[in-house]
Amino acid sequence: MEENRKVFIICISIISLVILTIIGSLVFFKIQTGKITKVLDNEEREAYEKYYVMIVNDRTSEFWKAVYDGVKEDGQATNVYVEMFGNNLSEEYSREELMKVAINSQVDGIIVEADESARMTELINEAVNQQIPVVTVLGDNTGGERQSFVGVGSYNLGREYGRQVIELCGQSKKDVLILMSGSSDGTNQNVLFSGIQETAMNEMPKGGSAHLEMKLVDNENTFSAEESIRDIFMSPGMLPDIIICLDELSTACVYQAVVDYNKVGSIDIIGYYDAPPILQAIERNVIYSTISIDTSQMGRLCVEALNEFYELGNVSEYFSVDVTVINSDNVASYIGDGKNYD
Amino acid sequence: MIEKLLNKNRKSIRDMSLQTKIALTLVTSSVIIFVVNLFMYININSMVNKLDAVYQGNVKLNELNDALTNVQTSMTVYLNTKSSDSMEDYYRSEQNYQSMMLELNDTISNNQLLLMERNIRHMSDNYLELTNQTVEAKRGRNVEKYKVRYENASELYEYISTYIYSLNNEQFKNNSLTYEALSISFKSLELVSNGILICVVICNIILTIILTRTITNPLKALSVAASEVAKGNFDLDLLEVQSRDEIGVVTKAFNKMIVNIRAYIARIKTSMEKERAMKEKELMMETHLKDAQLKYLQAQINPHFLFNTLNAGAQLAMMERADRTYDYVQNMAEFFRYNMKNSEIVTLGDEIRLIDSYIYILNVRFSGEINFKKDVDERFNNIQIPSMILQPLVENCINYGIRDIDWEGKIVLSVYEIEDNVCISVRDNGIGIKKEKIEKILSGNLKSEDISGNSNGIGLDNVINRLKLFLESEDVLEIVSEGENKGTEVRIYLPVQEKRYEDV
Repeated sequence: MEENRKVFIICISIISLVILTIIGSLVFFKIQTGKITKVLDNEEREAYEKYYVMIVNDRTSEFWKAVYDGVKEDGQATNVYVEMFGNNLSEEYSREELMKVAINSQVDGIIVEADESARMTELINEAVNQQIPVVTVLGDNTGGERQSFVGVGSYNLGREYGRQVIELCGQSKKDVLILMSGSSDGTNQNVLFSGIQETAMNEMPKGGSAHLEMKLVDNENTFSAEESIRDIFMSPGMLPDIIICLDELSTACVYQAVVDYNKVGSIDIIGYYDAPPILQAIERNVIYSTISIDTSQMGRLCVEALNEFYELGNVSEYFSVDVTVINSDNVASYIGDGKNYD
Repeated sequence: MIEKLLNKNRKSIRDMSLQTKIALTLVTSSVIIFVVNLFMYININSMVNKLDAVYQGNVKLNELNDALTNVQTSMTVYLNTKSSDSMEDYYRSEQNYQSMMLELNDTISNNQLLLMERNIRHMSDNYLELTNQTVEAKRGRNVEKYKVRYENASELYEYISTYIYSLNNEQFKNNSLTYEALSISFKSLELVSNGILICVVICNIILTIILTRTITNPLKALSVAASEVAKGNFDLDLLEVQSRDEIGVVTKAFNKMIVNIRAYIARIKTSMEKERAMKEKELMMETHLKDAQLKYLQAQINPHFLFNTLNAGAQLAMMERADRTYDYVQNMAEFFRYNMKNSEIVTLGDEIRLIDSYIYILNVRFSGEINFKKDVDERFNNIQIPSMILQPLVENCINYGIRDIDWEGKIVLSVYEIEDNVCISVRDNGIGIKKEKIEKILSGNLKSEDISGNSNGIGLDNVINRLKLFLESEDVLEIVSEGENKGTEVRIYLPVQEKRYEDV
């Protein structure tokens, strides 16, 4: 009888063990497949009320990525999805083409890095005509009917650059080359240039002077910016003491060219934007300083402008974004910001 | 509580029949395997369906692109030729594209693919409007307008195409990811199902071993006990009944059998002892019988002695020329010799000769009072009959029939054939016999006081019984009496076949 009892208990425990194992395995399997099912069913999505697109020239730059992060963050908070337009397309479209596509896709708002070209004006007007509000960012189109512009005031930016030039000149006389974007409109750049010039003239201490020169960098075509910057270095006699770059791409190109042509120390670079490679270059004293634009503020302002337009029917024409100078004194705090690169 | 439940379950399992136990085990494991398989099957099915759906998206996009191309082509052909065929083509393909387009997503979400779908849909809306306007303008022969619109439509067509192509690409990329995910889940499915199957199989094996052990262990004990019994050893311990299944039943029956066999053996022992005692007694009786027989044989010597002395007497009478004395003594000797022969079956002739001697002796004794007549068919002298049948009949005639009558007593012995039978009749003319008495005699109910002591021992009853045995028949003898003082006749019927057979 005792043995019988033992056998019975063994049977019961084996059966329960098996049942537990089976249930456990099935639960494990269900969990495992549940994740995959979610992926398969495109379940990882959130619905949004509005759909804005952001059209910029160089989507891959750290600057625009940072701006887009700001845009996205603010968009999510206000139930708006903002797409970096053209990211998923197999063909590389120009801003104008993307504008066309966006208009035809009847998006709820367009954030565009505009210029003063007539084609852009036309497209902006077409969008506005189709009840799509347009906000220009960084580059403005003053001729069009865009709702608002979010950017750095060119004059202020120029003053900041001017101050950097003064710091570099000190008591000496320096040649300064300002690399202007070929695609940007003349007005803005002129304002910027005069900002630099006025500051350099008025605030220069005695004994120091700066000779400002402007050069258009052709960035209309792919790789053309890099080529035209290399062209400058190919003619050694013409090399300036200071090069001011007004966008991220040219900063990177000049930095590389200075390193390649062994001009570190003889040419000072004043860069644009606080991308990690640029910050690292500052740390290594290859780039003297750079202008940092508060990208997240910029992004937020773009979305806010569009939202405000929807809410109120009109919106302020201009939003200014803060700029700060980063040089070897304060670069550590920016690198320490978690923007680790390498 | 749990202990109680376990005990209850155990009892109910113990009460199950063998068939139920085995069936229960098999059914349980089968059900588990079936359920697991079902679960796996459903999951695989749903995953395959999803996989199908994933690629279905690509197929649909390709179809969409084809439809779009058809719209563009048919519009171009129409603009080129303005033929009604191309117009029809255009409207058909436009309708087709329209319906396909409506299936696209129209919501805003952070899913890039869905957003692309949405954009394609909206662009297509605009595109179709543009193409319609273009066709309208062409029909209205508004050359300038339709050219511009055609260019716009073509531009848009390019964008949509690119978008569809890009979406297709993106989906394909996504599909690769999902395919990877699916293959991972398939692998985990394989792992899980294999694990479960192995688990179930092991469990089955263990359960089977336990089950067979519970079946075979009592059987082993039973077979050991059975072989002990086969050797003749009944003094073994009774087996323990562990379950109430068939084996339990057999074990119980076996135990009962052993108990019964033991009891049976004990009974046989006592009865054998009894029998032995009885045999002893029987042997004693046999000894006594033998003793009696010996004494009887000793007694038989006397008739021989008597017979011899009678013979000597007869010879003496012959020598003395006393003829009558000689006859008398001779007949006496004959009579005694017949009695001494002691053979059971004799011929009818022998019997008749004995009657002759008997009558002669009686006539000497009663000085010729008895008138004896014979009417015998000599053919039947050789038929066989039991000995000492006729003499008692004749003796009865003398003792009861004609002893006390006033007239001359007559006795007639006749042997004749009647209806294939031989009839032996002994008739007298004496006092006769009452019918009630005849019935009593024939049914064997005659009481001893009815019989006088004159008989020499062999009564009518004995004659009837011996005839019955000899003829193997009940109806052997007939007694006829027509009333008081009208005499009595006793008839014996023997089958004539018997006689013929004997003759041959």
